[in-house]
Amino acid sequence: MSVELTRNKDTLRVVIGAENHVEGLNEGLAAVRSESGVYKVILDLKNCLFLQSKSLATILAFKKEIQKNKAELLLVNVSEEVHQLFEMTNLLPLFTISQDYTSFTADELLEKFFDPEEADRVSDFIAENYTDDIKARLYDALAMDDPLLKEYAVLTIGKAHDYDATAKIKECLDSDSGSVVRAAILVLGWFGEVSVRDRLYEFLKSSVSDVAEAAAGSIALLADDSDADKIGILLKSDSPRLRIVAAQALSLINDSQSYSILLEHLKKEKNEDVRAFTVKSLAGFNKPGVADILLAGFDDESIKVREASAGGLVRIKAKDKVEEILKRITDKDSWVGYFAVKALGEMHSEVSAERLIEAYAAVEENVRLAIIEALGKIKYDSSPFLQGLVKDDNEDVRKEVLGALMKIKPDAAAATAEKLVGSDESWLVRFKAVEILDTIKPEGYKDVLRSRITAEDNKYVREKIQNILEVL
Amino acid sequence: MIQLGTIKIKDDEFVELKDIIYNSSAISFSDSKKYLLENRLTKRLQELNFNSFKDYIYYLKYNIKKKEEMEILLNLVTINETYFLRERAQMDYMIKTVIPELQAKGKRSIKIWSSASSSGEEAYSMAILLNEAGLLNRMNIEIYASDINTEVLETAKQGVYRSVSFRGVPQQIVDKYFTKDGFSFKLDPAIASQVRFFQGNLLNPLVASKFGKADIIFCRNVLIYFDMEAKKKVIETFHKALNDPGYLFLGHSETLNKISEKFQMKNFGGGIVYLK
Ligand SMILES: C[S@@+](CC[C@H](N)C(=O)[O-])C[C@H]1O[C@@H](n2cnc3c(N)ncnc32)[C@H](O)[C@@H]1O
Repeated sequence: MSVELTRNKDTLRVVIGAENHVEGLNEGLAAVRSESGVYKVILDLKNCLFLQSKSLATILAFKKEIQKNKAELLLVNVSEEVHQLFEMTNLLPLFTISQDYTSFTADELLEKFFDPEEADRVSDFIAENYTDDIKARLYDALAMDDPLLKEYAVLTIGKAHDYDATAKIKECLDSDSGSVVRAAILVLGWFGEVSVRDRLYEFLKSSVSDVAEAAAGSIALLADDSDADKIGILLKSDSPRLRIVAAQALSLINDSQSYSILLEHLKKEKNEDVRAFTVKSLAGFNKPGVADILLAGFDDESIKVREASAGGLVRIKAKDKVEEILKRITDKDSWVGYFAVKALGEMHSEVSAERLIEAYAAVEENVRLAIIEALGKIKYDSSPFLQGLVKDDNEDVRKEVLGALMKIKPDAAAATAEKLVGSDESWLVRFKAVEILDTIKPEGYKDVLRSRITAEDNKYVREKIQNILEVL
Repeated sequence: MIQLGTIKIKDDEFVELKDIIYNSSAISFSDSKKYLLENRLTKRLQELNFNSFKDYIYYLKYNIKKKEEMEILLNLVTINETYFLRERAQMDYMIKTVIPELQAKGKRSIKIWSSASSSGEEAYSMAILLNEAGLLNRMNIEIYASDINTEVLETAKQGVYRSVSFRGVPQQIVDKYFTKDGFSFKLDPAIASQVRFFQGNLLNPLVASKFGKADIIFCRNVLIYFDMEAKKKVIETFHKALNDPGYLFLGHSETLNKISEKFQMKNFGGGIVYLK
């Protein structure tokens, strides 16, 4: 069979067969022409590992036909080879390509578990489209020896919330494959299977780190009031790795007891990695004292702790600490400065704008970029300052300026973008300029892009423009 | 810290990051692989306290330790899937036909290169099969193995594997060559010592200079991640790195069609070999 057609409301799915691609495509095209009321055509190439280049003409004809009807064309399940053919013939920007497993049989789906690039997505798809047929196959897979198949079967059953399989999944805790055990731990956590909680404590100590991390997460999901204390004991372990896992579990449990335990622990912890992790964990609690802990972290002797503290501030929006944070933007570790500036941007703190501009000349390049970005988030007219940077030597500065202007003065951003799209020597800046034009859509922007396209020698920028203009 | 789900990558971040990765490894990410970068890098971004890919890109560009971070990035984005005795027919053919052919031509020592070795299963499989064929100590055979990813090379050097590496491997081979300990399987040190690992980027034309010239190259399941231009470069490097005669084995879905005309293709029934 060279083509298979299925109609579902206004969507027509065209699955091209494994042989006679050209014939299949032509039949598909004929169907598109004759069917009425089709607003979406899905061209499924799952059976076409290769395509001859002459098939492309037919696919282009599809596109034209469909555009005429103002319908949408989606290419799905395109193999690497075919993708490369599209790439070499510059057709890529004209098509929307995605992955879609609807036309796959249960066997074909399970086979995809062996493809590391697709396994996760297939698993999500199966879980969302869980049928008795699939369920039976997944159960078969649980009984097999193949650890990869088994791991994905467990995860998929978990995502599908198939509680019937609980007993089978519990058995997987005894598997001699670390990844199967890890999967089972995760799923029993999702299922709320409290009966295994005490057993999970053993896995916290596993030398296989993802098993231990999974156990931490699942214990947190299954926790009752007594668990914070039990995990707290692990913070006394000699192994820094176990202490990190414990801190992680406490931050996931996220109750008051966990908070006090972590706070106490921070005072004692000597290992900088664990201390940094503890600070990060504390930043995840919604407690009034957190901002002060993070500010105190700025003075820690370890760079890792200082960066974790500053990074934590970006998340918590400590509006009453603006002054303290401002003092840190010139920190000798530029990443601390970077986070401090970002924190101010997140708080949209108007008082900081002028101070940030003042500090600009004195700070390192990465902090400068953060300053420009932050100015885009603050209600203050920094456009004169930003405009002054349009000719800066650093391409990232020019790109950030476009981004910030876009937020505070779209008109100015559009005008600058129009200029830079044709003149900037950096493709990154030109790419950003094209994006901005496409977002603001100032009058005549398509002409600007059209006149750029022939001179554009960077493939990403060219594809982006082609994509917007829908031309070759 | 408790970020559920992944950090999403914006279009401009995606093109810049994929360009960075492409320039240093030849690996191409098409648009449909965005989620792959998100999945694999979110954890690293969080470790560094970042909440956007832009932060991370700046870190790769402006951090004093950017070289180290580049290495971490490549370790995270390469697909390292591999297992013992994968596409075994090629290895059997090498042992039954290629090596005798080379011997018949007067070759006294033979160099084999597993050029994208990942965690070493491919190279160690050859050592195991050579041992099974009684060739290991009878002939001077050197096996070299390289990969761009330093983390998988570490695993390779330790020779400790998890059960996923044994997909379809006969139990008797597992029992004979590995010692089981908890979740792990340790390779017999006598076999492990047969393979020399080194870090090597296939984009580097001098990647083979560590050992000179090879007689047999395995380059399986890596060209699929490269674009045409990079494939051509790598195959040219192989051509120079091979002795004359030389044998090149690719993965089952890979071909030299439209890439190089310098090799002669031979279908041996169980697969394909390219001859220099
Ligand atoms: C899927 S594995 C293949 C392993 C083995 N050859 C096999 O067939 O089972 C691909 C390997 O190629 C490596 N790789 C990717 N780009 C590379 C490059 N530019 N240079 C060297 N190795 C590279 C990856 O790190 C990964 O370990």
